[in-house]
Amino acid sequence: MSILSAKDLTVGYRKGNSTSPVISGLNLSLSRGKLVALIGANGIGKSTLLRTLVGNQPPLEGEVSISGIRIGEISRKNLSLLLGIVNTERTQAGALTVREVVSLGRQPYTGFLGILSKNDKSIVEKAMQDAGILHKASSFLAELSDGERQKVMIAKALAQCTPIIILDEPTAFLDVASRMETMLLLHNLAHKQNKAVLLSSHDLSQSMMLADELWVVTNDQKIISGNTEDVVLSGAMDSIFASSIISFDLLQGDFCINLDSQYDIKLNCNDKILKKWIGNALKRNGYGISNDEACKNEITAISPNEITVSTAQGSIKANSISDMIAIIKGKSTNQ
Amino acid sequence: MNNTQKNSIRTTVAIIVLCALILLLAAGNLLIGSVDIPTSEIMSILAGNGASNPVMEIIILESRIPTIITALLGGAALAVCGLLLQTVFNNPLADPSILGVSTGASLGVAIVMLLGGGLLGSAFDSELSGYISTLAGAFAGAMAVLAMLLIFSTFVKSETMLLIIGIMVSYLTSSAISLLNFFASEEGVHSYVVWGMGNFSSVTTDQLISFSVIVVIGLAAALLMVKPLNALLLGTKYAENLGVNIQSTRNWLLLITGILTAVLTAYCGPIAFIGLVVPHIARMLLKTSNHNSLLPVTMLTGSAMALLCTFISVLPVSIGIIPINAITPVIGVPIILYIILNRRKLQYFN
Repeated sequence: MSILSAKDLTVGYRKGNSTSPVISGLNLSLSRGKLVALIGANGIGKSTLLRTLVGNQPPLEGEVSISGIRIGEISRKNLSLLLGIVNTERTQAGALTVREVVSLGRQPYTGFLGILSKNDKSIVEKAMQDAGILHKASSFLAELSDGERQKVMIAKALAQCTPIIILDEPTAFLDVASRMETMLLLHNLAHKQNKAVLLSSHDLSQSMMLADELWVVTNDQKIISGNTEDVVLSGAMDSIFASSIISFDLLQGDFCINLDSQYDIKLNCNDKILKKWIGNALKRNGYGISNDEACKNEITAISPNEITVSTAQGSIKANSISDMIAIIKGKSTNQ
Repeated sequence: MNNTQKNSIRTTVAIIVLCALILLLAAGNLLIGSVDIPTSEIMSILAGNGASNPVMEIIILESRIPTIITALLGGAALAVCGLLLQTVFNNPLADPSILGVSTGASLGVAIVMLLGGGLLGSAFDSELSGYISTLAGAFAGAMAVLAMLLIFSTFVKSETMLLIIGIMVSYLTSSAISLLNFFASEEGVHSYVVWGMGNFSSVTTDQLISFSVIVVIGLAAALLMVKPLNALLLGTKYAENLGVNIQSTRNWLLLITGILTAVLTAYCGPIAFIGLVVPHIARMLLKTSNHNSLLPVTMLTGSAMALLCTFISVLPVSIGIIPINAITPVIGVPIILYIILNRRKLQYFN
């Protein structure tokens, strides 16, 4: 069921009477229990869209609503009960402990002086546990790694107990392991705690693996949205970048560089992994892989140390991939 | 023992030690001054039995005690102003004097003292109206600078740039003050220069009540802002998402700062460094930026610091009183340098 929706939305900036739209014609809906990844090129307007969806920036056209109520009509206080955010803003909170930061998530519920009740305190502990940061509860924020800090901010959003969590680039600046942990955490929050989680990301592979839906911002500033696999198979990924040197490899599930090939070589190999990496070496060196039976140049690989290069002039054995490249390069210059 | 427990122990110890220090310094200020009064006479005066010499009674009751109370409240007020500005502008080097707020207040005072004294001299016959107009001038000047900073802060996002704008505003204001001094009477310039050196002993017994009431209200108002101040530590976007009305919170914080700076500047002169340094001392003592404990401890540290400066100022007993603004940088600069050099190690910067 949709909890946050955008109708005929145009996001962008207004200065005086002139407007500069960034992304337009958006009809989007965010549902509980789903992790949605917003992906697109840098500077395409992902952050602008997120700021509009959380009510920080008014839309140029159309509307954003939460449970059918327009976001502009929801009071700041009520909005803080519906929607929690995580961003990459620099904080001054280095000398606060993790528990103190997560406790700030209870501010919408506490009184004038911000004193926590017993219930607030147990929600804070639960939030830290769910975010996997409870073991650092008494550490200062300054003592944590970037990945741990991100978990703290996610725990803060959890302590806020909102049905919607919106995260701007939560995995930027993180190493691969922390990125995957963070994505898995968000995936679990959506599925196990029935939250609507929307994040913007550069990370295609993890987004495709764990997001239930993708919102792809294309290079002509439209959005293609839908179930992750449906969006991927529709070819939407190729419209993310205007660049002609990269294309989306549907089999690999990632972007790859289009390398020019001058010569074609037939590659025989039963080991899929070996075949992939020999192919990688060949493509990088300007050789295309051919399936043409008539192709006279042929490589047969049994293991990385047993490779045979055959051409019209005869066969040579190579005992490593490096050796193989040297041999075929020598051959092609002879030709 | 984890950090949470350590923090609460640290806070308790800091409060006890600071209170003891404040009592000690207050006693020191009571016992030592430019006139040598025996301790037994002071005890007798405090007990209400009077002294052998009525002049001693006047010195204690109308000079030393008002000075102690002024330093106690004034120090707390200056330190709180520094802390509020550091949190609002997200800048560890913010304080009323660096951002030009005190200079703004000084300009207001200068206009009243120099122009008023020269052109409208007769209008300030009564001392009371004179003080009210000085206070109003200081408040108008402080608020004008704060408003200007607030406007700049909406489109200047860099904290360092905002600080530099504050320093520029300060220069402009100083140049206006110089011009006023240039055209003012010799007498006016002299009283302005003496005022500008800063001291906690110029609040008279009559003014003490109004001074105390305004400062106590300002400090109490600051204590009520602890919740949004803590949210602001996460940055404005997070704070807004936690339900904080950024605009009105900022306005309130700047109003409190403006009033406290104005009262302090009008009565005691533009006192530098206490606002800048004390919040850092308090953070280093407590090892936290949580305003729940930081704000009260900043107040106590500010009081102790002001009393210490006042105490040092009367030490050269026979020569007279050293201006406060000659002492605060001597204490403040080494601390600021220490903080700058240890920026990476001090966790409240990270």
